[in-house]
Amino acid sequence: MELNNGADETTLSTHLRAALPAPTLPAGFRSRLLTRMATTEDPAQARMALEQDWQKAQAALRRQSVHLRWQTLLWLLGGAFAAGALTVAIMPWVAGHYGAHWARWVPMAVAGFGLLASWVGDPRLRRYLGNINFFGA
Amino acid sequence: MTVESLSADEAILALRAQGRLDDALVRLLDSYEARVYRLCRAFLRDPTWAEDVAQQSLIRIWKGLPGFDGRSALSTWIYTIVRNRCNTALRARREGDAADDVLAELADEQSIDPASSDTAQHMARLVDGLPEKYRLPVVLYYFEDESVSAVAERLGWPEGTVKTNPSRARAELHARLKAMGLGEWTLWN
Repeated sequence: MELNNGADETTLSTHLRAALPAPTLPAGFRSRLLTRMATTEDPAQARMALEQDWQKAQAALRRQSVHLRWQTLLWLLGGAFAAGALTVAIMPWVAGHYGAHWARWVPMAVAGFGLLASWVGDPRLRRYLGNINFFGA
Repeated sequence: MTVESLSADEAILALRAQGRLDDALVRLLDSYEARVYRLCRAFLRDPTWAEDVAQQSLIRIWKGLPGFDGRSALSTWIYTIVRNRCNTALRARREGDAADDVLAELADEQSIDPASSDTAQHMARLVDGLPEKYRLPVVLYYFEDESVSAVAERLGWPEGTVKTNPSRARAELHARLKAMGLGEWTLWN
């Protein structure tokens, strides 16, 4: 529906202008705002800060994990090398003193001891070995 | 180049970037606090609620200013934040309930007496009863000193829409007044 004429339009505009005056800022608006700014932490900012903290913690954990992997790998390589060197060094002595029979059992006992020590020290290995059904039942 | 030679928006950003935070905040508030409050009043109607949401918006704007990337005008970015805050506040308060209250009041339109001294109040109530797509541009049009471009920027609407909707809103208002037997303007004068 259109207004009938320009006079209607003008009159309606006049009434609307009178009915809808631009609201002025409430007294003390700025001082209340500044107080609130000083005391309120914006949830979005807080969330952003938490996310940054979380990302930093994640990055630190990742670095630590890589470091641990390298450390573990180096320990394994070093341990394997040391075990090999030890075997080469003592096997002739063991065979000479106790016979060839012992030369077979000593490395197996050492390997068994190593597995047992790992089982005690590493919960993942303990879990893995614990899941193996040795009796096939 | 001095800050004084810059536009208001550029000065805010320059002062903020220079670390002159107090000056930047004063410029920001001088330029925008009243406009932000008027926009909140248009959306939310209630003065206390509008003040609360306007302050929330200004705090958000101030704290988010370092992240402003300049892809839009500062004013556009600011009004987008304010509109989002208002819409969130409206959703939180279930605007439907408030609208029902207004409509319930307007159901008693026959009680409006054009001869009474509350003409402006009656007209404001009629405007309140308009659908939002008509009410918002009409209210802001008068709040913002009858500038279509200012209203379009505040609402993030095309100027054409802002021009068209108030015309329809006025026609709707006139129809309602006529339906109430108050179409003759002489009754209101």
